[in-house]
Amino acid sequence: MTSFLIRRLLITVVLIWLVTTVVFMFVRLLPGDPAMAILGAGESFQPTEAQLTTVRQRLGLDRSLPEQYASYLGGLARGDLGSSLTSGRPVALDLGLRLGRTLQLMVPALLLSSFLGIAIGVVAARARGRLLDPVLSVIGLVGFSVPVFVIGNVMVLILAIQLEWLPSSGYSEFTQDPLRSLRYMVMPTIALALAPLAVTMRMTRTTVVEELGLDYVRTARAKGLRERVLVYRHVLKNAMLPILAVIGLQVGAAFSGSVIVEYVFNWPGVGRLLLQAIDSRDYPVIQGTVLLLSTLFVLVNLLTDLSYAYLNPRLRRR
Amino acid sequence: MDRMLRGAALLLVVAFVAASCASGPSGSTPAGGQADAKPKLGGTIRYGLVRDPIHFDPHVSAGQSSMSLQGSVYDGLVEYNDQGKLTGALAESWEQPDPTTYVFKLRKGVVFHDGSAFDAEDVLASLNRIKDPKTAAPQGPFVLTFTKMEAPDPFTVRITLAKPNVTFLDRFVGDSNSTMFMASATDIATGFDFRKKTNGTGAFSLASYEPGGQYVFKKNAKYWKPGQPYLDEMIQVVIPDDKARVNALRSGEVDFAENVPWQELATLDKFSTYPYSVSWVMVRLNSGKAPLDNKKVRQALNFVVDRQEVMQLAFGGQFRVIDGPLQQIGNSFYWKELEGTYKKDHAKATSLLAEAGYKAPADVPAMEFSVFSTFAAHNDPAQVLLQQFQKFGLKVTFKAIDVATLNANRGNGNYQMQMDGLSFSGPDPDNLRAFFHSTAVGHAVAAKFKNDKLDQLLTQGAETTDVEKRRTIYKEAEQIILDEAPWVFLLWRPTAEASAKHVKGYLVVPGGLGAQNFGRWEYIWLDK
Amino acid sequence: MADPRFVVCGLFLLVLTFLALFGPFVAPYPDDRVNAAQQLKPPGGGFLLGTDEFGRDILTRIILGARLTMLVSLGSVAIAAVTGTAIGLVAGYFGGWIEGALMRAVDAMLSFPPFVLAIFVLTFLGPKLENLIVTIGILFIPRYARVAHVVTLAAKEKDYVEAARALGARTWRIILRAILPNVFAPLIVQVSLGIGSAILIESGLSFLGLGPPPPAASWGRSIQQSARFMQLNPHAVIWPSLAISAAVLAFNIIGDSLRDSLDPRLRII
Repeated sequence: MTSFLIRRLLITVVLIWLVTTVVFMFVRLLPGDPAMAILGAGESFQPTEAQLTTVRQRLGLDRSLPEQYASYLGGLARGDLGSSLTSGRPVALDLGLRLGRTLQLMVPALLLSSFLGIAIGVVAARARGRLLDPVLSVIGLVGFSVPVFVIGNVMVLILAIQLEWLPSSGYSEFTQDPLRSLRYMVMPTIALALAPLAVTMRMTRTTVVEELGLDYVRTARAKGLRERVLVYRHVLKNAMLPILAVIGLQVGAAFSGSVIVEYVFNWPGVGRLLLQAIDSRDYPVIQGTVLLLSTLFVLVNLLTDLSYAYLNPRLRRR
Repeated sequence: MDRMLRGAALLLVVAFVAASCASGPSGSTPAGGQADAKPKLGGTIRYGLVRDPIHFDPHVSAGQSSMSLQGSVYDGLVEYNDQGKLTGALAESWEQPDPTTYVFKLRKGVVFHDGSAFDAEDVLASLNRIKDPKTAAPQGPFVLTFTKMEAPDPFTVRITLAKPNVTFLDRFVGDSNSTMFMASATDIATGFDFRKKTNGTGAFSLASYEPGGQYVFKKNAKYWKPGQPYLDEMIQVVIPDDKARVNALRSGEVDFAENVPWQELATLDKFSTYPYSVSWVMVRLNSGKAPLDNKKVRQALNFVVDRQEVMQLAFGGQFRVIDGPLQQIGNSFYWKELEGTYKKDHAKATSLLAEAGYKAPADVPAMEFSVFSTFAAHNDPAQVLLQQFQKFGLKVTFKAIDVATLNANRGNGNYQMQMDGLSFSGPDPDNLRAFFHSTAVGHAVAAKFKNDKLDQLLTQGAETTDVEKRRTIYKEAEQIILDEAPWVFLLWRPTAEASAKHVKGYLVVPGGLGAQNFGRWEYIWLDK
Repeated sequence: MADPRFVVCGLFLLVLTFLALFGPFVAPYPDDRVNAAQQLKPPGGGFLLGTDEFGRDILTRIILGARLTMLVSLGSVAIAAVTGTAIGLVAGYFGGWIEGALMRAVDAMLSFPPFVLAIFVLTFLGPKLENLIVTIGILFIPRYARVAHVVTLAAKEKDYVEAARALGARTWRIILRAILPNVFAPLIVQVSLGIGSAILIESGLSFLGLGPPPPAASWGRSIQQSARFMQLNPHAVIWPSLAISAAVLAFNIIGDSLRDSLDPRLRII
């Protein structure tokens, strides 16, 4: 187990290094000039070459590639991700702030989708053969076939514009006014949760159905064990492994989903920051964001693998 | 399986019914205008911004995004009043003893947000900072033309120029095009971080902010306009998505939204809307790349397009086309005689192409049409134009670019045809010089556009003070511009703001000075 | 395969393929002309599903968009399946450092959140059709590589493979004749589900403006452009949304039913 652990950790570190380098190279090779964006080049103002050069020098954009890479790595070691080319604020600071907000959507969404998904999946498994099962099946299929931006737009149309129950977009500090913040959170969280919920539900249903067909279940029933105890304490526990694997995958997928959800609902999280930074060629921010998301993704995968290995004795020997 | 299909069918029906219930336009005309009631004091206004101000530096341009920030926090020496006429701001009055000298008499008793007093020293320090190439201020080159700047007493500033400049006073207006705001001399001397902090004389001070979130402004109790501002607080919220911003207005999340797309105006009948235009939509033609190096080809293109159709499809038929006169109607330099110079005329286009050596439109070499395709204001007209060009028989291919490339292309000329827009810096026809003089960076230079007579006229026009002479000069200049057809002239891009009905005091400054609206937050009050 | 799910979805997909191939001949308004007089009309008056903000027929746009959707999804999955399977086969069969290197590379590819990576790469390369297909294709390689790898490892132990090797059969023949057939079943399931995912990714990228640029009638792009007019005419958003959802749904259902009939053990995938 320990050697497995160590090996996985080493691989993770290498992967993260790979990610940082690839991000660095790609960002530098993006066409377009951040100096333009910083000077506010646009329809009413065109900077002169002299002005552009001044800005480039100030930001160190004119140094050689290896030099920039070296200072980039050095900064990373110190936890310094540089400063935004456009706002001058430290990237790490902004990312920390925004990550909190993205998690504010992702964590409830994943918790919701996991618990509800498992619960509904079990219900569907037990309702096998009756009307409820196919209906839930269809809902499940639809849940992960409909694109997240469609769900988002439809919710906005019905809940915000037609019924005016919820605000159509925006964000409010949770610590300042929890109730208000919750109103903003409802739609994006649901939009984000729908696909993972559907996948989790389907997987749960399948594995539970399979478990229910096994001999020990028949024996337990014959012995008079109550159905609810049987299902929830024994069957579910045995079925957990693949369900966990799927949930782990969903966490990774949620990073992608959150980019779109943040766009549709104007939620100031990491995904939105990435899109804005790409627009203005804000290299440090792009780097930092992709780095952060990739690192988190790698860590989530690591955790999933580890817990799967831990729970599955058959894999521990690898 | 039967049941599954039945379940699915049921769900589909439900979905369809829900969707059709959700459709149906509301469609009355938008209302506008304010009542002339007495302003009520107090209140907080929430304002939806298109994007974060990139920075707060009062001397460096940061585009539309910082207009309302710079305009509320800082002041210039002069400003435009609600009739579009120049009036004093930080300068109470001014005189021009001779064509190359201006004397400003500064207002007394004005203080900065940090409490320090405003006087001539601050003006000189600001101008010197603007002049400094390290600041990269858009007005730097302009201030460099001053031969002398002095402060004979603490409330007088005297500026001497080498040559007369008719637009001198316009340039001193405090707005985000000119960025000739006045900052504190002490701040400048002590290396104040203007990009991230503010200290101005304006109606509001920036109390706190968070990029991508909100910007909170508090009333400046010591503002020099008596009794103003009316509002206690102004909170600007960044909502980049147009739809989201308008929805925020609809649901009451914000009281005011900037940059309302034209398609939303029709459904905002319960709100006050303020449509206007200060920008152009046009297609840049690179005069340095064949076949566009031939004037006749460029002219032909101007006869191929159907401006009305573009205006209708891309902008809901709002505002006006540009088919000749380059200034806005109502401007004293608007030439009615030039109206209709260009219109859709395929026969004429074909004959012009023939004169250029192309017997049929299909003989013209293929041209690439670069378009910033994720920006609706560029993408929509481009879609229509593409079809118009292709229907005529030209081989035009669409090339999607992003904003960074768009900006870069303006400077390096890496395009044949590029969908673009621009804003006029002010109502004076000298605004043409920034685009069509052969030294115009980001416009003529990259596109290798040069007409010597035009250069001469534009330079003359900036220096002449005689109104009649200027009229002659600029009329001829416009005729040359139209003849040279450096661009496919299209239309004025309509834009609009919208507010809840209880927001009063906002108005669109007439005379094509729409950019001025943003600096007038001291006039806004809430009727609640 | 008399499974009704399979039949219904199969028919739907046949229609989709037909539209992708012959769309311009079937569409009511094949030249997709903009029309100022017909902006944002609801269904009726010659426009079966209504018109969008440019006066273009929505039904036509959807039919033309089918071609793009099928092209991108089939193209990217084809690239991923072929490349990924090859990698997995080679890694699994030859083992040793080849296996180590190849599967590490596959793991490395999996360490980027796919959608974020796609956004990043497409901004760099430009939103052209080819770039889209290749990017999504590369993103999907790992899943095929893994499946092929696992199956190859299992198949390698089989008797007939040992026998073939003992008889001195050439390597590539063994791989092709003995091992590859084992991969088909899980591969087909993966492909079917993969196409659904590819469509979702493509429409998501198009929605963000990174997909094939206009005037291409991409479904995701249409939704993004017409979303501004949702209040004036929601049909321009509803129908492309339904199209995307239906296509993804159909592929997912087929994938499901294929998996159920071919090999229920593959449920973990």
